[in-house]
This record gives sequence, structure tokens and C-alpha cells, in this order.
Amino acid sequence: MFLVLLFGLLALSLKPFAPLERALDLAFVPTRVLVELASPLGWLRAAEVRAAERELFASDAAARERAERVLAAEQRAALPSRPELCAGRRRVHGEVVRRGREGLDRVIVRLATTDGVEPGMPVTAGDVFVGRVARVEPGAAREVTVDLVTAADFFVGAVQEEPEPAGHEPCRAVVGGLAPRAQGERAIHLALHNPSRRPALGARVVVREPDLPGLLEADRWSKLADGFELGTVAALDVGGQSELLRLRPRLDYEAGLSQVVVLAGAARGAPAQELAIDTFERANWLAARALTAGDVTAARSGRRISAGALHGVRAGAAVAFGSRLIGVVAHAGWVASDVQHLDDAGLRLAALARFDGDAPPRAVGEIVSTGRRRADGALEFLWEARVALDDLGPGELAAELFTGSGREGVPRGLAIGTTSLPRGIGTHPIAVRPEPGAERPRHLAVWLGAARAAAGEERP
Amino acid sequence: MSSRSRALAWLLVLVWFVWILAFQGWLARGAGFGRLTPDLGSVFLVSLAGTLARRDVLLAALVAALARKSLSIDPAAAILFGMLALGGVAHALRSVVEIGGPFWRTLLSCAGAVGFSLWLQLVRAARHGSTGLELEPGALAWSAVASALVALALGGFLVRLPGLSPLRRTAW
Repeated sequence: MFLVLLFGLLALSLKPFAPLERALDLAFVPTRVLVELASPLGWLRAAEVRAAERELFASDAAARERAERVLAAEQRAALPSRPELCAGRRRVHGEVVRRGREGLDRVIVRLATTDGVEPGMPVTAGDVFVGRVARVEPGAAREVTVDLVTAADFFVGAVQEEPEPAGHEPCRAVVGGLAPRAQGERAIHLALHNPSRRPALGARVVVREPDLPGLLEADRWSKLADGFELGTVAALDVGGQSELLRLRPRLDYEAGLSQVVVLAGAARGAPAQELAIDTFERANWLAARALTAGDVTAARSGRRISAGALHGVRAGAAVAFGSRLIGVVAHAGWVASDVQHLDDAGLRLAALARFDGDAPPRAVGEIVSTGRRRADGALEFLWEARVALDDLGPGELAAELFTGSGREGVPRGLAIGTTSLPRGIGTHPIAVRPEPGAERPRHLAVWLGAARAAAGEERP
Repeated sequence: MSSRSRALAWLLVLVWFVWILAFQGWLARGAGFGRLTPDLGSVFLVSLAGTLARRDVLLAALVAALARKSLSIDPAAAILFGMLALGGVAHALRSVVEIGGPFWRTLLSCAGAVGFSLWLQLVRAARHGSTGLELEPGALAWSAVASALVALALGGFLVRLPGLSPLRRTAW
């Protein structure tokens, strides 16, 4: 009997099974009371914690304002910049909230409105083509599922935009799906199918859907995507004299999608419908208290908090102090939750970078925590850059990191810290300097927004 | 021995476990021991296992798991498995050797600290992927040595903490 129990726990530990974990959580409900027995140890550092809270609170209004400016700039950058890409198109702004259950080639996007949005409508980010609306999700969450151009069964008409020698027919092709990678290559490329002639290397390729009479009902919105960029032509040497032509995209489709726009039919002169920035709305947060100062071992960095599933907390929810991200809920028990701090190795975040100068903020993809540097207390992350930041100037780029979109439960715009980002493609270790004392506060807030949206509640 | 005094003793075992683990957490962070912190929870469990009646060893492991989960963000199932496994090994060894003695108590505490730490690392890798998780054999070895030293020096003291006498066995 004992061995069966052990085997069951072994399996449950390695492969979580939600109903059994919920049952086990019930048995561990008394831990919410037991943890209070250890509170006298917390009193030793109470003055230090209060001082850190006061200091962070004093600078929070300015930090919040800065974050809102960054988010507004990011939203503006998601809109097409060239007037010809705006003309005659109704633009509905949206935010990627999570990956679809079907795989990496589908994302779920929360829109400013789903009125008039239909399957087949193009989805873009800035001047770049992203994919098409696959379906409008039922419910009040204003969500749509978007098929990305990276899907194997996705095809879009394309044309080489430049350079084009005078008198030549532009090179036409079909783009869709991922091109093969070289051994060890990390960056992704889009597949280029059936080019009418060899395109110039480095040339920009944009969407140009064919003018076919009697377009299918599902394709009637396809022409709205004309002119949006797909990538630049690159060649992969496949041995001998052969090469494979493919497109180097400007977006990291795997982890760097953040703000997008649905081109929702024709409209004249109407402004884009933008999503409200609701990160700092009080109603989206639940107040909670830290029950512990940290974990019992130095191998973990995190704490337990006084709110659980019964209060609406879900795994993956952001935990913050004001506008600063403190951590993410790793597991929500019934009446208490486990929070991973930013320096808990393995924590994954979608990051948004604000660079010095005039460059708009950019979603830089996923960063994975590897711990904290002993020498100066900087947070260490691994950042997989799939798209180069060459256009932002030479050398390493000083950047302020915020949470980005794409991780359910973590709203965009929470401050992580400052860092320097390398410009090239590859996996880079980066050191992020958080606000001093940011991990100390006891009075915290847990993000409830996503859970409410999933439940179909209207936000205030 | 009345069942009321036993129940009270078990309650005190739970309280001692929580305080000992909270102290371990303070050593790890507040006192700056970091990864060199001894696993006081395992030491206390092994020490108790050597002195409790054999039928009580697994119950002590359950209590240890409850106390540890109160202060830890590791999954409840993983903590429960780790503590029950350590308790199970101690329970099995009791029929062969005197684990209450300094040698076996030290050896078992050292092995328990290493095994538990490796187990939790494995669970994290299985649940979240191994990116960013690196095993530090040096830190693990120091933690094991620290656990062994604490078991050797303080193991005998830990089982004499106030309120535990109703649970101590009186004969082999």
C-alpha cells in the first residue's frame, strides 16, 4: 500500500494531473495556518521591509506613468506607419494573450472590439503581415484565434518589392510555412514557394494577393493585406551548387508577437480602434500578503502568499508591487499560492524593451531566468533573440525591460529592470538590474484580469 | 500513555518542524549561508525516526511534509514523496541498524539532504524544462556536509526538544 502511494506521488510529481493536485491541495490547506507560526522570524526584518515598501511606493506614480507611456508607444507602433497601408482599411487593435491549444502556429488575440471582425481578415503588426483571423471566439472576452503565416498550410500571395530593374515583371511567389533550417540554426525563416523568377537576395517581399475573379467567400478580405511586409530574401546553401531561397522575417513569430491589428474591412478616415491599457486598473488586481520571506532552500527563490484559487488566483498570474513585477504564481492552492520570484531559475517571461532614444518599444521575445548574480544582485536571464536588432544602432543597446504580451496571466507593462541587449541573433545571457528592494515588499497584488476575462466578465 | 498526551506531542512535533524549517530558510537567506545551508528538516526527521516507535516513523514523515509545504514553493506531491521516501528508508533500516546512533543518523541525514535536493531539481526540470536549471555539485556537497555535521552534533539534542517525550520509544 505504501509503495503504491509512493509510486502515485512519484508520477504526480513528475507529470501533474490537475484533479489529483486539487485533491492534494485540500489536504495541505492547514499549511495556510501553519505558516503563521513562522511569522516571528519575519518580524526581524519588518523595519527593512517597511522602508523598502515606502521607497518603492514613493516612486511608483512616476514608474506607472512611464510604463503607460511605453505601452501607448507600443500600441502606436503596432499600427501601419505608411499612409497607403492605412487607406481604406478599418484597423482594430489587439493584444496577443496566449498561444492556441493547437500549437505554435495559432495565437489568441484580445481585440478592442470584435464587432465586424470575421474569419479571413488579415492580421498585421506595424507594416508586417502576421496571419489571418481563423475564428471569432464566443463570449465577452473579445478574443479571436489567428492563424500565423508560419503554419504549414498557410499560403499568401507575395511580390518582390525592390530593387526592381525597369521593364521587368516583378517576381511573384507564394509564401507560407517555415523554411528548412541549417543544422544548429536557431532563427526561423518563412518558406518561399514557386517564385516566378529568382528574386534578388536582400530584396523586400510584400503581400500581393492575386486579382482573381470570383474570390471565395473566405478570401474576400485577402486584398486588404496587400503591401504588408513578409520579410527579406535570404539564401541557404544546401550543398553543391544548390541554394534554398527563403524569407528572413522581421518578427519573432514564436515569442515576439505582442500587439497586432486586424484589418477589418473597408473604412474611410476612421481612426484605429485601440485596446484600453488596463494593466494598472485597480479592479484587475487582488491584494495579498506575503506569508514567507522566501523559500526554505536557497535553490528556490519565491514565497507563499495569502490568496488562492478560492480568491480567484490562477497559476501563471503576475504578482506585483505597484508597477513592479515581483514574480509569477507557480501554483494556486485553495487558500494560498506559491509565487516564483524573478530570480527563480526556469521562470519564463515575455519581455518588452524600451530603448534609449526615439525608437518605439519592441517585443523582444522570451527571457528565462537563470538566477541572481552574487556579485551585484543582478537578475540573470537567457534571452533567445530570433530577430536581430540591427536597425537600432551599433553596439549593445541599453534597454528598460517590461512584461510583454503573450503570457496569459501576466499583463503588459510591469517593470522588470534595466539591461543591455546584444543586437545579434542567438541565445544571449543578459543581466537585468531590478529596482533596489523590489523583492522585499510584503503587501502585494495578484493579477486577476485574465481570469475574469476567461470567465466572461466585463471589466470595469 | 494517554492518547491526549500523544496528540499534543504530535502537535508539538509539527510546531518544531515549522520552526526548524523557518530557521533553515532564515539561514539560507537572512544569514547568507545560501546553498551551503544544512537541510535541517531532513536532519530532524532522521533524528526522530531513530527515536520514535517504528509505527510512528511514517506519520512523522507526513508531519514533516506538511510543515515543509507551509514554507516552500515546491509542489506538495514532490515534498510528500520526498519526505515519505526518506521516512520509508528510515523505517526499513530500523529493522537492520540502530539509526538513532550518531553514525547512521549522520549518514542517513547526509544522504537524505542530497537525495531530496536532487529529487526537487528533477521535479522542476520535468515540470518546467531544464533551461536555467544547473546542478551545482559543489554547493550540493557542502550542503550535504553541513547536514551531516548538524546531524552528528545536534541530532541527539533535537529529539529531546520540549514536548516530544511521550513519543520516544522506551525500549529497542
